[in-house]
Amino acid sequence: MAILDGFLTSISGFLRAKDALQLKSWLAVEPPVDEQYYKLAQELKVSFRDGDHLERRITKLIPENDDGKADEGDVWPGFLVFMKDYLEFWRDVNFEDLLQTHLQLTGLVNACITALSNSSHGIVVLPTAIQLSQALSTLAMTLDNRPDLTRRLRKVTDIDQGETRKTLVESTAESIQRAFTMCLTERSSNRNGIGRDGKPEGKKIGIYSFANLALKLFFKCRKTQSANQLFTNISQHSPPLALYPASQRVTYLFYLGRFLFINDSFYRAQLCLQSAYDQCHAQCINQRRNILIYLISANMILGRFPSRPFMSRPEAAGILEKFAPISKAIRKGDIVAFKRALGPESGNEQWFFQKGVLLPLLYRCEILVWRSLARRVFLLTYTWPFDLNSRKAPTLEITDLVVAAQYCQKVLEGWQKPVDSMAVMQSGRTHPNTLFMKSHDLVPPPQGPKKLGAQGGTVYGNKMPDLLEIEAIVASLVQQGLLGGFISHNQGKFAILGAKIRGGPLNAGFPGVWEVVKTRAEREGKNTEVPAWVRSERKAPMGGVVNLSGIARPVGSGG
Amino acid sequence: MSAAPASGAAPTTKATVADKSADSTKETKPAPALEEDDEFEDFPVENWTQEDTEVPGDNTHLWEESWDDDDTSEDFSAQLKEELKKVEASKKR
Repeated sequence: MAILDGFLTSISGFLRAKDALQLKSWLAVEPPVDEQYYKLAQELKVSFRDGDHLERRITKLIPENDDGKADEGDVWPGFLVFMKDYLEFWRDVNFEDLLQTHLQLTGLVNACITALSNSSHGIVVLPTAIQLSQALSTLAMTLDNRPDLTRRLRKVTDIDQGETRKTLVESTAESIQRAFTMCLTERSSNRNGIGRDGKPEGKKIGIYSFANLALKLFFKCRKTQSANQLFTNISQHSPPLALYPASQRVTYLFYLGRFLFINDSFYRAQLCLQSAYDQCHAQCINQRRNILIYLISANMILGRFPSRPFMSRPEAAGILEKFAPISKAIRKGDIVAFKRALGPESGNEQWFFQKGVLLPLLYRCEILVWRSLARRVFLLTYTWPFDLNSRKAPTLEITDLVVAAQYCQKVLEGWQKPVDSMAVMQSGRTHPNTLFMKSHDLVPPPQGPKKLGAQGGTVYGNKMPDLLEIEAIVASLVQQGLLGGFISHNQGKFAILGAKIRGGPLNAGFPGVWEVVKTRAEREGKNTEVPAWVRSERKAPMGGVVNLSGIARPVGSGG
Repeated sequence: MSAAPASGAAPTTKATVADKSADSTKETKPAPALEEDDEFEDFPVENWTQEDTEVPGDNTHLWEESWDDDDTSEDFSAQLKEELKKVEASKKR
């Protein structure tokens, strides 16, 4: 019993000394651990099969503090329960059986979180609770990647009194979320939960450690909507994110950015992800790469493309190539190339899908392709040069855009030009009379047009776009501010407004996408305030009032 | 305490954690040999400074905001031009 007694005496000493870090390093659960832990486990197996016996031993060796010294720490019932669970964990654990280990560790984490809830002494187990939660989270992630091991889960969860619907990862996230809520809602003596040293006070220091673990698990099990409550709570109760260490800030902003991305809030997603990217350690390539995938996706949807500096960055290797065909197609307004850049032909479709960016890119960038196509048709059909003295507004015939859209639709359906026998005979040289000859029309493939999925066509599957649809698309572009002008339905024209004062019809009719998006976001206040990204101190402690006005900083300047 | 697990087994001060992990970052991340399905990993270091985030090269113009392509001599434009011309011609007839 020598090892157990020594162990408990030391733990008691750490409690008295309020040495949270020593407690954490002694209360290890995750291999590799010191040989002594296995010896301790052996001793427990031999002498402490009986839980009551073990409990008595713990109570004896970790006694209450009778001295009554105010500056010393003390034991509390929740801690004794946790210690018993901890020792039973080591007594019973079999690391070969990961599923059973997960179940035991879940129990242990719950006991530790309950111990943490003690208002006067609980804080001393905060680092331990974080450490145990990390171990539990890692184990849950490992198990999620091993369906062969979780096959038995049905049996195990049946014992778990009916909560069979939740996956292992999800229930782990919920356990950890309990600790998060405890840290977040702890009543603090100082204003705003910030201590005199400028750091988050008491248990509030643990907010983002637990939040990030829970978020990681929510994203892993694709239950991202469960994160909603977490973000709402952070908005209401958290001290500013800037007060937390860089690793926690970056991880949190990464998940918040992804959450906003999933919820179609691309401008705010971009703000979070850009800040995460800017604050990330230069050598942490894995994290930078993960951030970059969503940062590029969000920016492309908002009309900004990755620029040259990325080319020399190791985290961008292999990523830029996947996005480049999309931006190239958007620039040209080439619907065919756009569909192909995101389709199976690109070889990247699965990758985009797995990252969760395929559908947002496909649905959200399409309108940018239409804008460019309209611009291109205008470039090709307008009678240049632009006459500054003319009173007539420059116009685009909507029927011309229909022709362009129908051409794209035909190519998507596999239509081809018949082989020009004369050109072949002349080895490709153009016949002098070409100008007067009717060039060959595209013809459908002999086996019939290729069957297109709903998203595979220009408007909808194999539907050949007509005037009505194209006019609707132009109207949508005008409404979104991506085309500057109006539609004359009677004349079938889109007329550009302000060509004289805005430097010509191209600038006036086709304003830069990012410029439009940014102006709109600024008008709506989206550039200064991102829900759940706490940038300033709360004015009233525990009042639940978030005041972010005027204090928030621009992108990347901190947070 | 003598029988208890060695307390040196885990780092106890913040400084040790930071230094140790900073070194390991340098050692373990020499090249971006990355799997495509890499998940967002835990950071090996708890905290770092602004300087640690700086990467060489241009950091101010990461995003291209004006990207319109006015070149109408490339393939796609040529094909569109041909289509438009054809339809124009058939209208006149």
